[in-house]
Amino acid sequence: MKFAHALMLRTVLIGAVGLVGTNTLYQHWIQPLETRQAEGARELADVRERLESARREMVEIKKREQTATALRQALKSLHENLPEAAASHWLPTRLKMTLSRFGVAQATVQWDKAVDEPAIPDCERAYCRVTIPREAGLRKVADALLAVAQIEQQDHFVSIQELSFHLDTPEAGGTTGSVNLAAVVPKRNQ
Amino acid sequence: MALAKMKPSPNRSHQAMLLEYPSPSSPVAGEWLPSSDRLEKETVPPAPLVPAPPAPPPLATPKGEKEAGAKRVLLLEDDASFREIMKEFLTETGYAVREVKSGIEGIKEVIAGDFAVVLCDMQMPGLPGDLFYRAVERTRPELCERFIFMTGHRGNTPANDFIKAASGHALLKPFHLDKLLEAIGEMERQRHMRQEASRANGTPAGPAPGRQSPDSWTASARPPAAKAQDGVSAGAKRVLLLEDDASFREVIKEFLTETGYTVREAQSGMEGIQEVLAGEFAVVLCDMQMPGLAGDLFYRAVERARPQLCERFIFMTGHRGDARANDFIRAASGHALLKPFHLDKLLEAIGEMERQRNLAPGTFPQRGPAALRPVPKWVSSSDAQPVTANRNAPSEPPAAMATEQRPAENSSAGENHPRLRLWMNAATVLATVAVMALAYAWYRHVEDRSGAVSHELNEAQTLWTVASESLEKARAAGAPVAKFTERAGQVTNESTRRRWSSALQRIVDCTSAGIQLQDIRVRQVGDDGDAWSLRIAARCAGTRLDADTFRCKIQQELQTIFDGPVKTRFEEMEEVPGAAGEPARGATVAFTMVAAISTQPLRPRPMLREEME
Repeated sequence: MKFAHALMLRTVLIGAVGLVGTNTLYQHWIQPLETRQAEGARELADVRERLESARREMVEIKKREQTATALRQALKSLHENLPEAAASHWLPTRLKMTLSRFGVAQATVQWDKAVDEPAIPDCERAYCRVTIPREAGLRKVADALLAVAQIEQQDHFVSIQELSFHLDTPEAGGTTGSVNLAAVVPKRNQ
Repeated sequence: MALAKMKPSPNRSHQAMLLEYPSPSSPVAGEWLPSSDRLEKETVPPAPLVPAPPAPPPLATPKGEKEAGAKRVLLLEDDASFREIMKEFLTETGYAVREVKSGIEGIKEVIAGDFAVVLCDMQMPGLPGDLFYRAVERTRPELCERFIFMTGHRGNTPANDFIKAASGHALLKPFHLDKLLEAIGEMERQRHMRQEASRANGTPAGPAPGRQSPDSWTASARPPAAKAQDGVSAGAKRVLLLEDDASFREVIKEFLTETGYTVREAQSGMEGIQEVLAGEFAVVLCDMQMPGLAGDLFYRAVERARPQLCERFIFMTGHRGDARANDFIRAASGHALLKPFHLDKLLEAIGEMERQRNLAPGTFPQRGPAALRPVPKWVSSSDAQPVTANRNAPSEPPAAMATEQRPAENSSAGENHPRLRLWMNAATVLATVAVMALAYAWYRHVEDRSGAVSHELNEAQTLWTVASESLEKARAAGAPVAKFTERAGQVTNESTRRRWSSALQRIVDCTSAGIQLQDIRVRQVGDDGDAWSLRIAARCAGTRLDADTFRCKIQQELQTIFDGPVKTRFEEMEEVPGAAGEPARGATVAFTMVAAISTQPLRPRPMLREEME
């Protein structure tokens, strides 16, 4: 019994000393390391997330550059066979010819203005106003509409901005309709 | 001896002897003074005798003694010439001298009669002076204060310590005979003073002041034991039996004789000493309580005379409660039999003793200090038949013996299992080392992980620094690209590029079924071309339902073309008379419809819970 008590006492003492020692060791040496490790792991995860986000953004930028390259090619193809002169010189004539080809012979095309297009280098946005007078040959509004529609179909860089047609114009020689057009054309010097 | 060559002369001169004796004025009785080697040449008159002390009690004079009435002196001296000189001088002085040449003979004399003075040489064959003193202390303690020791070995520290402890008077050989008388006178004076003091106090005279009990003897005070010579073979099977009880002695002798031993029996310690000196014995069976020389004194005597016999002792005692005897037996490392005992136990004790004696040297400390000696092997037979009836002993063992008898019960198991204790200590050390190793491994593991994380973090931060710079540059370079992509996309996209041309064609197609367009307006509402408004005024040759069908068609077509939500509604609707010249085909409806067009898709409506279920 005495030996058993001594053994138990020794075991308890060793256990207590081991517990205190382990706790001390943990408090003074291991816990700071673990805290530092946890903080480092969190910071590392944050940095990695930022790196991943940056990688995705770089990929997007790369894709956008590729798209831009393709778009440049598309713009180039749009502007093929265009005159080397400024748009104010050839765009109204070109529009009038297109309308006359589709039955609107007496249309008046007025050059409005040309503004820079900062997003698209070396290009500008030109605005023109087309006025279609009433004439005997244009019986219906539908015909005028189809003719105007052919402008976009023929020249892809031209888009309809505003359109207004009136069938019943009381006065003779009045305007049947008017169309505002915008065209993205290469920037040329006057 | 220093006086071995001195011839006894009737005209013995007192100058012929040197005296070294403590001064009476010395503060400590018996303290040695520095020796003086010079020889006293001049004649010294005899020292006056001290006044005669009160007459001692009548002494028991042996038969044949004629010096009745004279003071009896016991002289123990192995040197015959010196003994003769002393005897002659003392006889002339008026003492009756009994001379013996050894301690054994002195013990006989002490037992036989009383003496006023005991002149004892310290160095004697067989039983030296100190052991003789101890024997007298046991048998006739009143004689202890009458001792005057004589020694020629000044540097004998054990002897000096003994004399100091005994507080006896001492004479350093050679000494002047007058000093002898002075010493006797001083001793008698001191004894007389003690007796007077005890009479005045009404208490019996105690021992001389400073005299210590035999138990207080230390190992340093004991003379060194002579080197033992193993003579077991010579005395094999011979047993010396010391027992004062004749019937008990006879029983044991008969039993041992039948067993094969040759038994020499002695009924007292004195006879036992004679037997020991006369022959060799394999076993010494010694009773602790004997008249004259008890068992412990007999053991001490044998220890000096025949030390090799000490390990062959088996003590027998019937007094369990005698702590002094128990202590002695424990110190003597002897085996012990507690009376009454079974005869088989006797044989077991003899066998155990011989077995231990045959162990390898060093395994059994035979003559070491008492503390290093094992506890006595008590053999009791409370459950056995007692051998003798006249030696009844208490049935319960004494406390001291009970403590010694069952050491394993009262001590821890670990004390009886040193190997187990060793293993436990080793296990403790191993466990501690293992815990420390685990803790260190844990620490290293966490440290490595933390270091790895820190390293990775540093690398990632470095990479982020580079990547962020590259990203900023890419962002800076990509911003115009994004705008370019957006704008150029609107320009180059086939579907958005031809929206209104397609829409106009569809509207024209829808009007072919009896609907006549009157007015149409298209206007861009949003800045980026993503919102439009359409207003159509028309005349429908039909009912309101036909007009509504036209509106629905227009809405459907616009949704297909613009790929976004289109809402249409009638702004005006009324039935009007048919135009002039037109055949009346029923009602004519003039209406104005408006459409809100967006190219941005509507946000998806969240699914309702009912729909989900």
